[in-house]
Formats: sequence, structure tokens, C-alpha cells
Amino acid sequence: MAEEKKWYTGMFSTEDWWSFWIGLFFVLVGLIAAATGVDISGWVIGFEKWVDISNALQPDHAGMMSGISSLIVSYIIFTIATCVGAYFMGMDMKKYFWAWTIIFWLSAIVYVLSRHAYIQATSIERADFGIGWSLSIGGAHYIVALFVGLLIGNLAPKSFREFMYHGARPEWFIKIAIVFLGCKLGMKVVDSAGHALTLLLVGACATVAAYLLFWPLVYTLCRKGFKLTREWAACLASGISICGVSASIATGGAIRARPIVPVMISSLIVVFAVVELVVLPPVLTYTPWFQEPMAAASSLGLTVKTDGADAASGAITDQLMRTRAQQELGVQWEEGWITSASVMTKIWIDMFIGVWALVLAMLWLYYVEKRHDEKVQKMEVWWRFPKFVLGYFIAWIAVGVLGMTVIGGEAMDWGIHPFESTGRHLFFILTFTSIGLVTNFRKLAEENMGRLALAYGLGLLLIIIPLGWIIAYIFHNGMMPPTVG
Amino acid sequence: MSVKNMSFYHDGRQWIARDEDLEVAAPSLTDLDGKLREEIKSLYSPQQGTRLTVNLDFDYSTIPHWMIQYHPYYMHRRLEFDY
Repeated sequence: MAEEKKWYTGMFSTEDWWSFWIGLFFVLVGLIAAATGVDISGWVIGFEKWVDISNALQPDHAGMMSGISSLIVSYIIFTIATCVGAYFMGMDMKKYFWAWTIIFWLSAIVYVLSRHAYIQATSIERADFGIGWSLSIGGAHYIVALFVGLLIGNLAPKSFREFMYHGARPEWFIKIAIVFLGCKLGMKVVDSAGHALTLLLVGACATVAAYLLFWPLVYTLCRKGFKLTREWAACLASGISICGVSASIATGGAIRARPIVPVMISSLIVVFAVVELVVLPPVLTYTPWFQEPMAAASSLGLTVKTDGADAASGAITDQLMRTRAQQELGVQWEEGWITSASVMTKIWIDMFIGVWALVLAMLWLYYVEKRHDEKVQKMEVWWRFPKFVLGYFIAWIAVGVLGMTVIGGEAMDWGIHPFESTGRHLFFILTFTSIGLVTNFRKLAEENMGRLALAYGLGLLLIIIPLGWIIAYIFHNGMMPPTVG
Repeated sequence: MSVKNMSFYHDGRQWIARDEDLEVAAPSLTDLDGKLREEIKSLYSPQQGTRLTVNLDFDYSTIPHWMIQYHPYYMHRRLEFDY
């Protein structure tokens, strides 16, 4: 039965809130470990580079337990956590559990195999592994996971593909990972407040520029160039300019569009995002963008739609650029900063989607369609606000403040590292596998997709990517990731 | 009665609003709102000078399953009918 929506509606039934609850639960576990010295967080499984496969698995706190035990414990604990969320979200528990289990173990196998030293060891690491050559493909595990997911998602029998959708939740997994990423920024506040805060501020500036430039230009291209109706042009403009599927849905709802509009556009967004995820990281790494790693990463937040694909492309770029920097420049950039830059811009973009939806709703209802019986509710700004962002900032502030005061940096790092780093990587690879599973290239062949796909592709190539690169450069040029050692 | 909560969705051709007491369908939202106003008037006979608020909650389960993880809801409409 329909109920009147309150400010707390959905707090225990939506995926966004459950990324908040699960993310912060584990952050709390890390904080308790840090504060008490009792090791309740070190069990999280880490996947190491190896030549001897017996060294491939290791808990974050080495020696706490065997690698296999850590993997099984991690599976059990994260299964319980996500199943609790799935239950309250009203999912089919049996289907979720089995689909999740397949995704977890498939991702783990891919992670282990892809971390072989012949694939991932840098030139500097070869001697340590006793090998004479390696491909040095940092982040290979993410790409392999994506392609395994794509193979299943596009070639497996339809019944199996649809079954796997029950566990393939890339947005949920990446939002949990982003809450964990907040801890990393918190640790950076402990080490040096300036860098993290600078990233926060320039991300905001880049976002405002993007909203004010991208949306009107793409809307005009759709209306004048492709003769799309207002309904289609507005949803496509939001989808391609702001935060992808989320923006497409929010805009469709704001302007009271028929649901088929955001549904079709979202199908396109997901496919194009995967293409960008594969193409952009090597383009940025092996062009002059390599000299501006933070600007390059921020450009991903402006140009790659969907939180999952953006964070994923940031993670791959992080790995590729750090590998190249280590091999060619002899410099070791700290892991996670390039990822953080791509995520930060996207987070600012996500935060404003509620405001944008409110603005569009008021424009449409009061000026375009003049429906005087209907009232725009200002609570839309809160209802549409991405709750996982609250988790991200709470983690950031809690780790930063407590790490600088009562707990101390060293203890904080010990307690929180399993989630800030190892756990984050695990949820990233789950995201990659899931992105592949839900991306169906058959959608492009569906009726009436051609003109939309062309509008989307041209908008991306002619407006979003070039302007995104310019904006990212203007606000981030000269920023470099901190170095290690 | 001053507030009525209903769910609504689009079946590919028209918008449909419903609750336990009534169901209204129309090709556009403007038409739907007009029909809803009249149906409520005939069903409940609201007194002259009263205002009825109708909260229309879009049935999100009609959106493809893979999409709903991206955003918490599609739309909530609030209509205010003055009689």
C-alpha cells in the first residue's frame, strides 16, 4: 500500500542506505580495533602478487590466520553483512545468496590468477620474484574480472544471466567501497590535512563548472541536432552530463517523463560507461596526461558515468599510472590517490543531483507544463541525496579526527587498514565482475536505440570528454599524488 | 479525509493510479489528474471549500530490476485538489 514519504523513508529498504549501514559498520569495527588494540579487523583477505601460489592469499594482518582461512572468513562475514541488507531490501534471498556466492568466488579466482608475478610484477619487482620478465599490467585483475563478467553477461543462457542479476549489484558494492575510501582520506588528514582538503575543494569547483556547461550544451545538441523531444533531451542530457543512470532516473522523475525514457537511456549509459572504462585509463596513462595524474583522474569523474564505472576506471588508472611511474620515473606514488581524485569529483556531482532534480521539477511543472494542481516537494533534495556520500564523509571525519587525537595515527592505520585498503580492493573487484554481468550489448540493437546511441556517442565525444578534460586540467593541474618512501 | 495515498505506474500506453477504493487511467498526467479529481469528488463528495491532498507514489517495482540500484525512487507526486 502506498504511504506518504517521510524523511526517513527507505532508511532500511534501499540500496543506497544499506551501503551506508554496511560501510560504516565495518569502519566502526576498524575504529574499535584501533582504539582497543584487539584485532577484530585483520581477517580481511588480501591478494598478493605471487610466483608460488601458496603466497597468493594473506589476511591484511599477516600471521593472524592462513590465507585460505582468511578467504573463507571474509566470504562468511561479507556474506552475512550483504545478506542482512538484501533481506531488508526485500530481495529473493535464495537467489541473492547463490548469485552473490558465485560472484564472490569467481572474483576471488580471477583475482588470484591475475596477480601472478608474470602478469603484474613491475620491472623493479622482478628480481624479488626471481623472474626475468613480466607484463607489468597493474590492475589486470580488474580488467579480467570485467571481461569474465561481460562474457557471462552477454553469452551465457538467458536464464542464467537473469539469475546472476540477483547478485550482481555494482552500484551497491562500489558505494560500500567508497565509504571505505573515506577512511583513506581520513588517514591523509592525519598525515597531512592540506592534500585531502585541496582535493575536496577543487572537486567541488570542477563539478559546478560541469553542471553549468555540460547540461545546456548536450540538451541543445539533442533538441536542435537530433530533434529529440524535451522529455528525451532532458533525460539524455542529465544521463550524459551528470551521473549517468541515477541522473537519468532522477530527471525522468523530476519532469514526469514516461518511465520508458530513462529505461532506454540507462541501457545506453551502462554500455557506454563500460567502453569508457576500458578505453580511457590506458589513453590517460600512455599520453601526456601521465604528467598530470590527478587531473587525469578527475577527468574520469566528469566523463565516465555511473559511480561503479567511474571508481573502477579510477582504480585501473591508479594501477597503470603507478606502475609506469615506478618503472620509468623511479617514483612510487601512494596507492589510492588517483582513485580518490576520480571518486571525489563524482561524489560532488552525485550530491547535487537532488538540487538539479528540484530545479528541473519546478521548471517543468510551473513553466513548461503548467500543472497547477501539483506541488513540487523540496524534500526531493534530501530524498534524492546519495546517502552513501554521508557514509564517505562520516568515515573521513571519524578516522581523521580520532586519528589526530585520542587514537593516534599508527594505531588508527593498524585498525582501519583492513577495510580502507584490502576490503576496498575486494569490493572493487566484486564491482568489476558485476558491471560485466549487468552490461548487455544486445540493448544497442533494440528498436529506436540507433538515434539515441548516436546522440549519446556524439555528445560524449564532442562535448563531455573534451570539456571534461579542460575543466579537470584547469582545476587540478600541478597536483601530484603523495610519494611513498 | 484530507490526505489520500495512492500508487501509480505507466503500462506503456497510459498512466494508472490506484488504491483499494479506485483506479484511474489516462494517457497523460494532466488527464490523469483531471480524472482523479472527478472520481474522488463522486466517490467521497468532499465539502465545498475543502482541500484534499493526494500523494501519488510511483510503483518502483515496475522499473527494470537492474536499474533500481542506481537511484532510490522514480517520482512522488503531491496533488492538491480544492473543492
